[in-house]
Amino acid sequence: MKKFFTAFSLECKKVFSSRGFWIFAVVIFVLCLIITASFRSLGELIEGMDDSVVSGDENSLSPGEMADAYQAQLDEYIAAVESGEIEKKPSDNTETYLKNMVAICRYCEEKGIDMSKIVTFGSIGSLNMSAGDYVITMSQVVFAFVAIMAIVLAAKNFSGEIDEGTMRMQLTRPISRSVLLSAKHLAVFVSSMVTGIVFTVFFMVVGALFFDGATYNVLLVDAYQNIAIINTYTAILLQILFYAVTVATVIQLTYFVGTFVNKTGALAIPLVLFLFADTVASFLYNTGLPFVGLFTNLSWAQALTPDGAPIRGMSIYTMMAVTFVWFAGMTAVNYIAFEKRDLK
Amino acid sequence: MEEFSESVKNPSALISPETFAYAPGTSYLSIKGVTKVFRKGFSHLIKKGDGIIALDNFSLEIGKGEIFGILGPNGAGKSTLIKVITGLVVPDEGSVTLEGLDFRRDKEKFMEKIGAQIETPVFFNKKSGLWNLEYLAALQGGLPDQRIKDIVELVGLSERIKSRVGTYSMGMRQRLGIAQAIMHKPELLVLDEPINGLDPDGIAEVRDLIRRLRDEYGTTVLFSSHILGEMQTLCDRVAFLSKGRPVAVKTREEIEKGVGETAILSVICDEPNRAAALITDTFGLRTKVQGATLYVEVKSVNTADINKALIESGISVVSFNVNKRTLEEMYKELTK
Repeated sequence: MKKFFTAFSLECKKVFSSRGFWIFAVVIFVLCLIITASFRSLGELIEGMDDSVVSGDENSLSPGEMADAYQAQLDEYIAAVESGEIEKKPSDNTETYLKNMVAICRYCEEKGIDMSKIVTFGSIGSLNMSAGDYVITMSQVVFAFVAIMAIVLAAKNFSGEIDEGTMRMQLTRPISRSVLLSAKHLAVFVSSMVTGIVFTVFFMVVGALFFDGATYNVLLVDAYQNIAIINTYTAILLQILFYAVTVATVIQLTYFVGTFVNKTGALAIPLVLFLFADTVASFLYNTGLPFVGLFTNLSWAQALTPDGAPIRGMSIYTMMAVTFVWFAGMTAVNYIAFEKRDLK
Repeated sequence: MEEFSESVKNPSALISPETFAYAPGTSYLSIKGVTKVFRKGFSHLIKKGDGIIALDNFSLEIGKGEIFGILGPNGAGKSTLIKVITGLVVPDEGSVTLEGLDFRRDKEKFMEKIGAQIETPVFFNKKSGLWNLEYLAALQGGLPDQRIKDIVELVGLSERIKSRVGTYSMGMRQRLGIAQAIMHKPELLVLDEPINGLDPDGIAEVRDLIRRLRDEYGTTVLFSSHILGEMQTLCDRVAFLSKGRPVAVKTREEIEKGVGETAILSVICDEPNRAAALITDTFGLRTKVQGATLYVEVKSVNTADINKALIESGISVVSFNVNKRTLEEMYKELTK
């Protein structure tokens, strides 16, 4: 255990003293500032516009009326599918979306909730322009970059070190391969998460200073139209938790790929899979092959949005189980293969 | 004075006989039946299928306190052997034990006793030499700062230790590589081509360092080198490798004797043909005349006797040279 912590602290030191890490941090920071500026100007633009264009005035529909409108759309869609007018692909989420929207509107009607004061989970840049909405959006942007950074760091400290030969120096020390590998994994994970959380906290401060302080509530909806409303800051925490899973998984994916290919491959394959996860997922899903659900985009957050999980009807618990199986499988193969691997 | 000049001619004479800690028969590092086949792709992981045989049922015993050399042509399995011992290459079969510690079961304890430098040492180029040493020392389990400082001084890198390794010359990297291998005072020092890229001063320093480690701390040293002369002067025993097997293991005395056994004598004299006939008749040796030079293949004959016989028969000898068989020739014969 002592060896693990020694190796872990050394790996963290290595990550935090690497130039790549700081370049990423600066890039994330600058991009977020640009987004903040555009957010501000967008907010001002909206303030200057006729209120009715946006939402929340007496001319807009009540939740009950909106529910009816969505229900009508849903009926129309189902009829079109049944008559063969629309060919429904497995990845088509229109039905789930409409069902969810009907449920949300009915829920708001029942509870007497002002729909202009809630946002749905995972919605980027909804036009409320509140501090909470700003922080959620920023945190999403930050963590998307953090995940990319994690892939780069993981490729560098595993297959990169094997390619360069520095791994050789580390493995001729009295430390087992699996301990070293776990230390590296945890170090990349912790440094990535710390970066993400530090930025999120920073943007919370920015949000509190420059944006409308009213906190909006966040609405979660699952595949069975169960609805929950949480406050913005709980939503931020939940989002960070989900991103932690994403980051840990992409790191493990990078190590897994790195067990079989060189650094370039270990960098490119997970990056492509991460950036084009949705495209890859719907492509696979549309093939209609059995067990294809195991290969889709397992973004937990998506299962709680009106759009629904990439696999229609898959609950967040099923997604968690599938993610766990993937993670455990990749970890096992990674460790076994690394133990048996010959180093150049 | 005579003793000094003798030492210069034959550096191995500098070591007093008492310091030879190696007692034949005591096994310290034991390599038994190690086989390694390099395969491509997934068959590499499952250890099945055809591939390049790097080590073929390789067995070797190395004694404590011994300086052991490994010689062999490219692809003979020198590096693979060293990587198996240091745990970088996983063999298909066989075992390596160090004083009873198994290299697989007791890997951490096994590695604690080893200091290794494999091929050209690779460090984190963007970090300083000191950063690299401290990093490796921490992985080793922690070493006092003073020890690292002393080691840096010992390998002669004090001035540049705070510069980035990327700016180091090949020789400096080698020195840093030796520093990381010896900083924790290992019982077994494994060096793969330790003098590659070093200047003559550097080579002499490394040679002295290896001897000092053995003499002062009883360190066992296993090293491979292409520089044959180095093997001859430094090693107590040398294994000649060919196609993944040790074809011969010879002590330094055996090498010196083997090298001296056959020699080519070149004589420049006024009547080479008569001299050739005389030598063939008297000593039964093979001769060859080329111009004014007579070549004689000498085997277990005192060359002084030949010279004496030539002079006594009235042949005037202009020059008389004995060219001993070199280690290179011996190496070629054994590893062919």
